[in-house]
Amino acid sequence: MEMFRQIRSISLQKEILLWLFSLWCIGMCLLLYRLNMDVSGYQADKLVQIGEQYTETVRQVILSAQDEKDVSDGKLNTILSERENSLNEMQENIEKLRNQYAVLSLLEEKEIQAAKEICPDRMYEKYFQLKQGELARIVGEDEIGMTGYLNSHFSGRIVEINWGMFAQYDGGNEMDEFITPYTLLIKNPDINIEFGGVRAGMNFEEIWKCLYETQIQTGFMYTEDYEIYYLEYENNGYCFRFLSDQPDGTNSWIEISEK
Amino acid sequence: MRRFFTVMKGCIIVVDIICIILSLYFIFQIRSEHKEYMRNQTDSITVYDGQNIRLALERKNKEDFVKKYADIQEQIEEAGEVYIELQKIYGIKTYMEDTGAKLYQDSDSNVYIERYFKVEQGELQEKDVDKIFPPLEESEKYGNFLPVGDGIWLRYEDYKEESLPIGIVITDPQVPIGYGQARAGMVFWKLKGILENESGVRGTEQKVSLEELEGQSLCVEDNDYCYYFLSIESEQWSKNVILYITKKIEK
Repeated sequence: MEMFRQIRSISLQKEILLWLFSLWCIGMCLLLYRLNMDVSGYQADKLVQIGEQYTETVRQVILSAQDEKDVSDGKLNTILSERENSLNEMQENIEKLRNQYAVLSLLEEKEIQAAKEICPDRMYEKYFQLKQGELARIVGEDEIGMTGYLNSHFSGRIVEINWGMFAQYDGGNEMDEFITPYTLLIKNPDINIEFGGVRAGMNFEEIWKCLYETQIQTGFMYTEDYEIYYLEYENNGYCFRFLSDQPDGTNSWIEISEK
Repeated sequence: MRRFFTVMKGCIIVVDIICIILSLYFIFQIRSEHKEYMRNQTDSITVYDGQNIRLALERKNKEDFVKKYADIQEQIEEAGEVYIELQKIYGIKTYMEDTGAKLYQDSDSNVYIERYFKVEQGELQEKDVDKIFPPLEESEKYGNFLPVGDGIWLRYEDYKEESLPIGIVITDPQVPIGYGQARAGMVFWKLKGILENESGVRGTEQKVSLEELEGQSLCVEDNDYCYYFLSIESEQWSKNVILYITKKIEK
């Protein structure tokens, strides 16, 4: 009986194992089948995705797709050479304008030479005819600065009419269309406008040698703390002051005003 | 019943064997597809790398283009700013020139004319005036003429740099130089009328022959200069007066 029971139990176990094994085989088969199908589809999608990623990566650093279609290397070169031509044209215009300016400067220099010979008293007359409104239109109101008057707390508008030469106007900060200069200021020693051989930049010793010795006067600009030293001379039409912030007149500048 | 179970068992074993075979097949299939996939991936990368290289080259060309374009654009903007500043200072010079012309015109001073006779030839040549202003047409036979503005030339006797002008030629009526109200560019008979009626001078009239050209001239003088108003019968000048000014020789 016992043996029979054992034999029956071993057979049952085998049966169970067999059934389990069968189930496992069927299950694995189905799983592998499913896996096979998924992988095929997955791989196809993945290939497409890889392709798209590459394309997108490169596209991100290139100009728009439209440009890619429209712009060829030849057209890029054409665009560049058009811009280069524009630049060359501008540079030629600049050179031309510089030369035109240089010719006018040359004529002005000769005019001063001629005026010294023919009518020295009227050498500065032209500069005292320059209207503030017209200059403001040419240079722009933003370019007009301010500087102090001698022996005054106030300042007036100035316009640079030559390098280192300024027309100073009366009227403080107000703009007036027809007002003409109150004084001319010359700070550049290279400007050929002088009085008796005296140019801007000379000290008082040198000025005395050219003209004659006269008393050094003391004034101020803006406030009494800012002392100005100057020599004063006159001719028939104008008053000339040679000003400096140094007692010996170093780096003086010229102030010309009509009498 | 026993037989049934035996057949069942046999079927199950057959099914197991079939499943095992199928599984092996699927495993083999998966492996070969994986290999295929890896091979395709490599090929795709190669293909896309090829495209990438092409696109990268295109990208580099376009990047170079963008860089060069930006450089040129920056230079154009800088040149624009320089030009604007130059225009301002040139505008001031022109305004001063016009103011001076008016002043000397009103005052009858000779400063405005005399300045031209002080311009050395070399000083004009170094400013490339030939490129700025137009040349005097058909003038080569009559001397060396250098432009010093629109419609005004200085005549030099030779080609030395330090030479001073021997005459001024004016064709543009806008140039504010003349005798009284008489200007270059006027019609000859009208000019005569102006000189006689307004300035009270008759001038010296004579026929002029300049090689193959014929014409007439009217000469008036002041203390310092001789003013020749020339009317040349040619297609170029169409009878409009040319003004030629020389300095009177000091005695």
